[in-house]
Amino acid sequence: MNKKTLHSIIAIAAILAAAWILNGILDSYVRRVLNLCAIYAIISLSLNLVNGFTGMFSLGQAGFMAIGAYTVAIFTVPVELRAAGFYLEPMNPLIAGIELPLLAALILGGLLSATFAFIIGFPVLRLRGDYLAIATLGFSEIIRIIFTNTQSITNGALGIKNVPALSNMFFIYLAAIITIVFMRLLISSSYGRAFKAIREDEIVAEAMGINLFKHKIMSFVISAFFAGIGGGLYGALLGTVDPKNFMFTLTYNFVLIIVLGGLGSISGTVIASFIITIGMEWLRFFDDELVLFGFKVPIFRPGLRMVVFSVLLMVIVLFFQKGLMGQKELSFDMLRQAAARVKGLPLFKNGRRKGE
Amino acid sequence: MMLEAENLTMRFGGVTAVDSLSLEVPENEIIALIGPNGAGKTTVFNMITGTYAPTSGKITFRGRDITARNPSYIAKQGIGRTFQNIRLFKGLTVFENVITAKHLHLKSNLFQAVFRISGLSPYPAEERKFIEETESLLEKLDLLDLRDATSTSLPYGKQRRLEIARALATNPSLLLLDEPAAGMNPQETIELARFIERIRDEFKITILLIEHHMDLVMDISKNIYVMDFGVNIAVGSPAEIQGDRRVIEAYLGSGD
Repeated sequence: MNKKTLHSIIAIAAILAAAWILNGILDSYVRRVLNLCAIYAIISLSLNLVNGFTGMFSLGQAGFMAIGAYTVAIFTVPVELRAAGFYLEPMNPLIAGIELPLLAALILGGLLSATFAFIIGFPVLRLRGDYLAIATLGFSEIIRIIFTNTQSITNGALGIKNVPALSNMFFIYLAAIITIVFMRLLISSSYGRAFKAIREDEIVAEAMGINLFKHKIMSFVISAFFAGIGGGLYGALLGTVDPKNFMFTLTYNFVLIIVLGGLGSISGTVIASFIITIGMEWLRFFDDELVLFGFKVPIFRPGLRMVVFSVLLMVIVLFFQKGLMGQKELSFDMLRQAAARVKGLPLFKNGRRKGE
Repeated sequence: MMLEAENLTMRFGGVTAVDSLSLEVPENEIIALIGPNGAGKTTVFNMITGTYAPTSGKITFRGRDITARNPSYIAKQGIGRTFQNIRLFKGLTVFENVITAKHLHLKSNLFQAVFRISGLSPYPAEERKFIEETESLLEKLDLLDLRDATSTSLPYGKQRRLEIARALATNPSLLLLDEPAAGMNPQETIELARFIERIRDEFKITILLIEHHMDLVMDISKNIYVMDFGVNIAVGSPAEIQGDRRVIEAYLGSGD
């Protein structure tokens, strides 16, 4: 085992230990925000695999999340509580008696989402650029509309309530770390290089013997699997799942995260997930009434938060096109160099400068 | 015969870019394809590599019919190419550009590649082999000292060389070079001629090249095919081509 692997294992253990300890200390609000950060990181990583690493402009994440979330909701609600929710039309008897543990339901959700991606991949991945974006966005809406109309399975527009709430930070952070490690190993493998080659130049990649369609499908299916897992966790975190949660606007959060973090950077995506999710919470004061010197500031009302966020996104797109990390990854070496740079600043220098 | 093309025709709507071209590339030789701009030379390359499906005609590579096959299939059969305008993987380093081209030899599946535990997965051994081969290739082409430089930061000549290195990394038996000397001065062109002969001998490959620098073409080609407006107007050794009246007319125009 080399030094880098050892460092990574220590870092992972430290994060998991911290998650385990904080789970007992923090209040439920802070815990929920931190859990959401980790879940958003999982979904953003899945989106970045397709958009940032393989160079395909896909906007289907909300749909894949819905598949994962509904799978978890359908199979984890205790059997005896189901009839109360499904009062318009009873639950389909084929699934009404099946209850699965959360982990099994999560994995099933991921697999169903991946299967769906595989099926729609055949027509959709023949498209490029904006056309691909529109097609994936369309499929994401189709999923939502199907779920709205399959009353006996998904309870339609009423949604599914009583999903056993998940608030265990250790479990969610473990899932996030597994996703990060998987993505890191995938991207640094020969398959990851093939994905990047497709991103850089499809014609050249093909001329170098990389089968475009096979690799695009791989990337798309893996992405859908993790979006399904993320969606399942999201559903379990909310405790209720209904179709309105999975509007296509949900995908924009993840687009914002990967653009801010850097298209093609795993660590950038994770950092941006925390910034955006915490930022969304912190900026809530924009939505509240603000009284300054007895004067009520008129623009402070619900919705201003989104305006501020839109402005931030425009600033990023205009001035920081590569995002926080570009295509680079955060590494121990980078941190060490940054530390050295800070120490090198005149402020930290002990000796007198020339001429003084 | 390494590569044979019979009556290749490529039409784009009403334009016939290539009109029943027949071509023979014998093993271990350097064959050139020349002609004025717009003669259809690059279209021939695109048909051989599968980027375009020919309107009619047949392409045989080492006895196997490869007409209109998928470009990645053709690359796997052993045809490598470079591009007229340098097309490197811009965001990647020199090393990454070359090792990426090794991917077509990978036997491990995706899960073996991700869960790469030595002993359980064949991937680590394959990856080690790729790294060794890539480094030895870079060394042979004098690019090893630039290993970690971003590909686009290289000077022009080195970028051309890197593109050839990347094509060689697929272990081709036929290498298609599309204007390798474009933008080079006479001195660099002479060096390139020696370089092309060297890689032919060292990697035991056959080379088909498109080129406008006549000194280079006459110097290294065994046989030359001349195209004009999609039609093959002459075939022959450099000496024969130099004396061919139709070739001179195609380049300089007729006297009347």
